[in-house]
Amino acid sequence: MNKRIKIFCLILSIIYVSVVIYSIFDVADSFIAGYKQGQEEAKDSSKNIQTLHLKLKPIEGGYVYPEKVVNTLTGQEMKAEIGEYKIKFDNSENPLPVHLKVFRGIIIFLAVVILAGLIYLPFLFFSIIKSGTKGKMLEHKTIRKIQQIGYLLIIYYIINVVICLSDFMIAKHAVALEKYRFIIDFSDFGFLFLGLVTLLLAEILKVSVQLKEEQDLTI
Amino acid sequence: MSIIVNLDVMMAKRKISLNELSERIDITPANLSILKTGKAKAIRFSTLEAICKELDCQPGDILEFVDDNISHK
Repeated sequence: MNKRIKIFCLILSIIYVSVVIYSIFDVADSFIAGYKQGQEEAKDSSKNIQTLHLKLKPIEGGYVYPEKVVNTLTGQEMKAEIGEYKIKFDNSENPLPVHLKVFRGIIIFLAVVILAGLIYLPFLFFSIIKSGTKGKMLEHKTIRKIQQIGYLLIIYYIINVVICLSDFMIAKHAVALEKYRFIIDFSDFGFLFLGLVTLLLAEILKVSVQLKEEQDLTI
Repeated sequence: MSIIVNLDVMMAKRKISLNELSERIDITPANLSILKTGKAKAIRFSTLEAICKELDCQPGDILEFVDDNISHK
């Protein structure tokens, strides 16, 4: 049984490290380009640059494909529909009301919280993997760490939704598109589901630890 | 509701030490100590049988039920 746990832990570790390395290489170019652009824009203090990540839906409803794009291989005109936009614009002529500025400030704080959580997460994860390889899964310390991962994932989902809400409110105030309206999409439940499953696993392991302790004290 | 383990009383009556009893009934001294001090959560019938055989007594001589509600009154 311990051998199988060790194999699973090893596979999980390899996959986790691969995903992290891939993400770093994937994001590194974008980060450098964005940082350079941000530096250039910051020199002009008269501008108020806003960057928003928005979910869109056509005004007439889904699946109407309001856009046209050309397939450069065949020259054929294709219909398309945009679901997400990343937009950057100068909002100096339409400044945000105070409550949105305060909300934005809260978002920056929450983003720091998420970042701290994301840095802490791999330490928790590998600590659990290490306990698994040593056969120490059924210990209170390990279960507490699994619970922490569950809470982190749920908090991550909630903060993501709040950030989407902030971008949505700013977009409603400052931007209007011809063919699309902005939506808040709550359907990306992946992290919430994963967090709840992790918490459920922790509760089940708690019961297992209780049974183990009783068994250990059965003479 | 609690079960009191009177193993130490029976051991004293039969003049047998913990180590000696543990050797005779093939249980580690540590486990026997857990039983004697009342920290055990459960006892197997096989263990109870081995103790009663060795100490020549009944299960009721080893285990005693005390109702906490009555004892508090």
